[in-house]
Amino acid sequence: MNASCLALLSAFNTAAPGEVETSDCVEVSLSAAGRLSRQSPNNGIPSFFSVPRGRLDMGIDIGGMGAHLRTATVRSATEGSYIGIDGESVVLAVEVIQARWTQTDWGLTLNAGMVEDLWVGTHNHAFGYRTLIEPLSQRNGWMGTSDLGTTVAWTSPKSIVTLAVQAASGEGSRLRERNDGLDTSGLLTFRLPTSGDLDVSATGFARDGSKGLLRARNHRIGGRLDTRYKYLGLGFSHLKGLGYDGQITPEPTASSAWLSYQAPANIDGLFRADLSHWGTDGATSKTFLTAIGTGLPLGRDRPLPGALFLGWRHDRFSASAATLAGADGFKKTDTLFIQLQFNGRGTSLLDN
Amino acid sequence: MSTLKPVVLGVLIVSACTSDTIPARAAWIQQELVAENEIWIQRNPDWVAAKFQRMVDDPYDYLRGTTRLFYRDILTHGEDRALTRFTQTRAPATVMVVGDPHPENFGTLPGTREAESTLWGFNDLDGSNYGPYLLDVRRMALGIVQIVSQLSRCDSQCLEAIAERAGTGYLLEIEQLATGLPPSPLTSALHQAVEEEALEEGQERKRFNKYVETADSGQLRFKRFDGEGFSEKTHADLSAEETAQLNRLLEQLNQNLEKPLTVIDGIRRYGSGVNSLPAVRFIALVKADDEPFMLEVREVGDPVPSITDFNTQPLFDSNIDRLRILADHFWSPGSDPHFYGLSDGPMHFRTRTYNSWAQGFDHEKVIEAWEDNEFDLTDLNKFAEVFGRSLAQAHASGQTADGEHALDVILADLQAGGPVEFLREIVRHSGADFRQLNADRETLAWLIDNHGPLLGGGDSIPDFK
Repeated sequence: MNASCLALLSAFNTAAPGEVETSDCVEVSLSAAGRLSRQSPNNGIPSFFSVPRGRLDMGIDIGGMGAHLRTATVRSATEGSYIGIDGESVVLAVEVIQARWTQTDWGLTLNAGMVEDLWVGTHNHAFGYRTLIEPLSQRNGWMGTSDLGTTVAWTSPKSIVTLAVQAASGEGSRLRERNDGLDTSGLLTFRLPTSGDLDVSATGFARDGSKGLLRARNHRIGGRLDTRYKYLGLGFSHLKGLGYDGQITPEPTASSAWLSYQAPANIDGLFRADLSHWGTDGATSKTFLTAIGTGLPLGRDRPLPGALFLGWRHDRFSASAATLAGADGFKKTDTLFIQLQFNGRGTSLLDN
Repeated sequence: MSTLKPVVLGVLIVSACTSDTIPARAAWIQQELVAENEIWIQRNPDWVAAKFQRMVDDPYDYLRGTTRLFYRDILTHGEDRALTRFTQTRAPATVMVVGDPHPENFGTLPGTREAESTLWGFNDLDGSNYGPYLLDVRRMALGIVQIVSQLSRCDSQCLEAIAERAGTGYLLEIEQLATGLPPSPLTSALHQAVEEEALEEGQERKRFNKYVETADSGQLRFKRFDGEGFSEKTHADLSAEETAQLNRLLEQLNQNLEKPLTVIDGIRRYGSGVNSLPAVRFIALVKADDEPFMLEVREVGDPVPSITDFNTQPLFDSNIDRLRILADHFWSPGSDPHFYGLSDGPMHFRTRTYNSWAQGFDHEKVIEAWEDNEFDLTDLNKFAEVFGRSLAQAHASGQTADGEHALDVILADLQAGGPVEFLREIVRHSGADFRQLNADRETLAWLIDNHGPLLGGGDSIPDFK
């Protein structure tokens, strides 16, 4: 058995029963990215800086029992608002705060608190380039990063299957509970028992959900396929919603496909294509992201903690999906950007 | 659009749901109205309940209380959306807009007292921002249609004609200003009634005399009175906390003024406005150059939801800056020398001179005058046209977020889309907005009946307990 620190281990990636042995430890992980963008058409502010990622994770594990805190940077005044905290300061918002019990010899993890969303959490892990672009379902406002609730995850021997079940408030991390109903979600991942350089997994997801005081339907069903072979990654995901954001009639869908390349010689490349059907009027939107970069620091072997990317993103909307429906001025946007990012983790064993 | 009123009646009948049938938009409307009013629900729930009830009781007040919902609906993909052929480039979506240019937000301005002629303008800039001019026109037309729909003897064709006339006024004024001609005078029978009221009551200092008295000590002071329930105005003593807040705000105001004001008295005013009914509102009795006058100091929130994405970058330093900069563009110089934005911690306020020279349209007075045959359909059409012209004048005096002259950008967009299509679109969209507005008002009534006066907000949210 390998001795591992489980302090920041995702609930959905618990090792197979008996494969790891816990060690008492603390872990800190920091993920940060700064971006300079140039957008067309000109909306008055065509060039701008942003922080697409600013995440701090801290965790502790003592004999399989632990806790995990994750904060993300958010602007305290929302879009178009001038009312925030200490002006419009960037503040740390709690995304995850959970107590965790892991029974490694059973392959079982139980989390409770503000827990990571099953679909979004596993998507980010499968995709691997969250610093460049968020999951489509999250960008469209159909899924959130976390919610108040509890998650149970079980991984089978040889890690062939992971089954996770979640019960949550349904309001997401930014709102208090609004009703007495629980959202219940299930996620099942199959991994092909391959060896060597090939990883293949397929995931199914379903959620029976409600939102708001009137318990507006907020169901989801989706699937994802992702593979890795040596330096190549390939994935596809599809999610369907039945109602969202308090609206009960729309039944939108979101599909994403991606191809990534991570060469040993510091070269990184990503292409992702997103397609959203908003469920009304044939409203569709498409996003294409292409990014190429170099892993940093130079002259070191992978895994590398940093990267410098040059990217191009093209967003295209059908007439009824444009922000101002029908307006040609809102039907497409091109954004060129350059981004420096870091994602590193430090572990310290605790004295017994 | 052919039949506004019959369609509305049909929608209302269909949506006159029983308590066990949940209207399709109920959850959305509940969510949006509770979210918008959440701070006030915690601070002053009775007045939020009064606001919601006022919105149910009066179709025009429903329009006034749902500005944010109007823009949220436009932003939302959840339902079939009205398409536009305009805004063919991004620039016309980045002009200075009033945000909520309905008739009751327009009137004579306090500076009329010193001016050679009456100063007109949009007097409520709470929603103002940079955005698509087209939505301002659409909201303006909706406001007029909503008032006119409450008049007898105005059928669906009449409503369509009114919407078209408002759009025509806008279009003609933009074209006129673009050729370098001066702005059209804002005259109609309805405008004249407001102007006469301003001149007469301004001379009389009617508001001042109504609200201010001389105490036994010889000192001027406000009269205090309690209105009945939530339907009448109340002038109440300030609490110690409110006194401190008003003093802080007026000290801040004085830092902006060449002639600082001396505070004589202050009261908390309840019962004014619709959307801002639960907001903190003070009236201060102040003196400058030995002349006493009244200042209204009212809490303001953020502008209407931004349709145009400015990449999360704000276009003004603060709400304070926003109000001042936009007022400077929309109003003639001297329109209100005491219009300022102020802040007190996280709360934002605006001050304005509270005198009788400032008068606005009041939908109840319009309805009453119509029923009394004080004006006719010709006057109504003229009013719509002049109102459209007044919005065009406001837009023409602004600029884009990129610093271009807004008039040039709007003219180019109107010419690209075509004036005929512009008018068709204004009629079509204001009709659709009108039908939605009135169906939604029925839904709000259902929400109050089934989820209480706060629509289920407040104590029914578990964490509030």
